[in-house]
Order: sequence, then structure tokens, then C-alpha cells
Amino acid sequence: MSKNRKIPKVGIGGPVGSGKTRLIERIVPVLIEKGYRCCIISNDVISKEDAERMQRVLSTELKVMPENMIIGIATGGCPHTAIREDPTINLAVIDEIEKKDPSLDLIIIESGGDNVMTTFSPALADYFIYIVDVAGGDKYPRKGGLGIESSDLLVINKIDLASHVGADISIMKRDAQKIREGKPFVFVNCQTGEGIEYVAENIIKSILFDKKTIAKKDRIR
Amino acid sequence: MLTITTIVGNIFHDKELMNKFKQMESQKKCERMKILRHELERGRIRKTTDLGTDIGLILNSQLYHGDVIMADQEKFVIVEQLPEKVISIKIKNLKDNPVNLVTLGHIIGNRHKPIMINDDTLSFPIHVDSEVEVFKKLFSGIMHDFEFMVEEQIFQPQRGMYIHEH
Repeated sequence: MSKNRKIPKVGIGGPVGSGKTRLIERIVPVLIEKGYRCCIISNDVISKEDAERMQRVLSTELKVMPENMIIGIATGGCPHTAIREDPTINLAVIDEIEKKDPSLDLIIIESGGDNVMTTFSPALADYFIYIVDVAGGDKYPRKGGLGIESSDLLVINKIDLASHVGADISIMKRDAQKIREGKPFVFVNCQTGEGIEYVAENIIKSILFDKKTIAKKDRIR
Repeated sequence: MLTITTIVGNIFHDKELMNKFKQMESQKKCERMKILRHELERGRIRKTTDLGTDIGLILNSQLYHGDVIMADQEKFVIVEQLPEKVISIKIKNLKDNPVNLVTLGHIIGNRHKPIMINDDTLSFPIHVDSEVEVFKKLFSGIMHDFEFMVEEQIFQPQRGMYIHEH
């Protein structure tokens, strides 16, 4: 199968419950507000729970994108294999999306949680966001692994919970700085929106390259 | 930002481009876009060259070390893949011992490592220094059959097969 290069693609991976779906629900409205039309592919093991939730939030409640632009894939196995070892199923869905709507600006691919070695095949994603949360403990960044070390952006989520779970944000900051050797990371609170703008701006700067200036009425289809 | 959508060629496969590269290098008009191996396969990437040019690449094919992405009278920009830590194994003596050669391949394959073979040396990348001890232990039964080295090099995996690593 040929590689898909037409529509830029960002991959979002991280452990179960780290907030991947919630992060997408927060960054998509920001990107759409800036004029970028998005599609979402959500990989999960046996259910399409996350895709259905995003359809409820982004299509039914916020009305920022059509329901058919949020696609659930039940991988039937460890979802990380569908983004790394053999991304064929995702590439096939992307093929269909590109045929259906080649003018889309961005495809966001979410992969269900796995381990610290999660990464996206470069054939699938042009930009890789790895997300962890403070409830996993403040040791997380220094434990390393491909996602934490080599992702294009490390998101540390749920900072509002830090004091409740005994996680020291300053330790996580120190360790993330050391292990990422200059690559960006950001602390995020998906409830209040803190850090969301930074995530969206990094996607735009790194793979969308330019800012759009289209009229708002044209954004929502 | 300078948007690049096509590759001019590769200095290691095109003599004319190599000559042009040397000429521009002597005039200090050559810039290097340094890039990690896993970034070479991406369709979109934004980088700043060593001389500060902001570049956005939109490509339909993968990049290779030595690719020329811009060549005019004033600016010559090449892709420079960054070196990484690898374990190299001189397999010379293993040729007479196919069982140990298969064992070696089995161990490396089980760790999902891409490989590079140059003459009688096989190399594969490692992420952290602790992997050196891990592989020494894994190879302990066959270590006497080859030379084991840890080096920094530009790792270019064998082409023509789908590989992944972690």
C-alpha cells in the first residue's frame, strides 16, 4: 500500500486513562477555531467507546465537526500494533478519508493505551504526541521509554490532581527537561484548558506550517 | 519558512551534485539540515538548518542521508542524518558456524531491532547504554565467535523490508 502523504497526520498515544480522548476533545475546537478542518481516527481493542464519546462531545454537543469525521477502529488486538508494527488498517481508513475529503487539513490518530514503548510508525504519523498523567506518579518522566523520550511533544496531563495523588510537578519538570534533551513538553489541565493552546500551536507550527484565515462560517461542515 | 516539496538528488549517488556540494562548501554556502533517523520517513517535517534557515518539508518519499533539498547559486542545503549509538558485531568467524549465526539473528530479531550489514559487520541501534550489558548476556553462549563493539554511527538499515523497533 502506498504511503499517504496528502493530509498531515498527528498521532496521539499514551497509557490507558491518561486523557488521550479528552485531549483531542479540547484541541480540536481550538484547531477548528483557527480554520483547520480535522478528522479523527480512534483505535481501541474491542469497543468504539472513545469514538462514540467524541462524536457526542464534538458533533452533538459542540457541533464543531460532522459525526462521520470521527471514525472508530476496533483493532481486535493490542492497539499499539495497529499504529506501529502493521499500520495497514489505519492506512486503509486514511486512504478512504483522503478520497472522500481531500481538502481536510489534519487527521488525528488516537491509539488506545499501552506501555512506555508506544510509538507511531513514521509511515502513519508526521507528528507524535505522547501523553501521561500525574496520577501515574511523578517518577513517570524519568522512567523513559520511546514515547517519553522521542515523541515530538510530551503532554503531562491532569496537573490539577497532583496534590491529591502526592505527585510533585517540579520533579516531573526537572526529569522531563533532562530526559527530553530540549524537545518540548507541556503540563496540561484538560478541565480548565491550561496548556491546550500550546499543544495546538505546536501541531500547527510543526506540520501544518501556516495559519489559516478563512471565515468562520466556512469552518463548520 | 522555506517550503520544500521535491528532492534535488543525493550527493552520494550523483557525482555532479557532490562536486557542486564541495564547491558550495568551499564558498561557505552549504547548509545542513540535521535529522534523526526516525524522522527521515515522515511526510511533513519542520527543521532549522545549521545556518538558521527555517525549512518545512512536504514529501511523498522518504529522505536519505546526503539528500539535497535545495540547490541554487546562493544556497545549497543537504540532509545530514545524526549518528546514533549502535552495537556492531564482526561476524567473520560465525560464517563457519551457521547455528550460532541463526542464534544471533534470532536474538536480535526478538528484540525488534533493524540491522545494517557492511561486509562482515552487522550493526543495530540501541536506545540506552544499559542495552550493551543486556546484549552481552544474551550473546554469552556465542560471544567467542565474534567481535563485539559499541560505536556511534549513521545507521542506515537494510532496505526492502518493513521494520519496526522498540
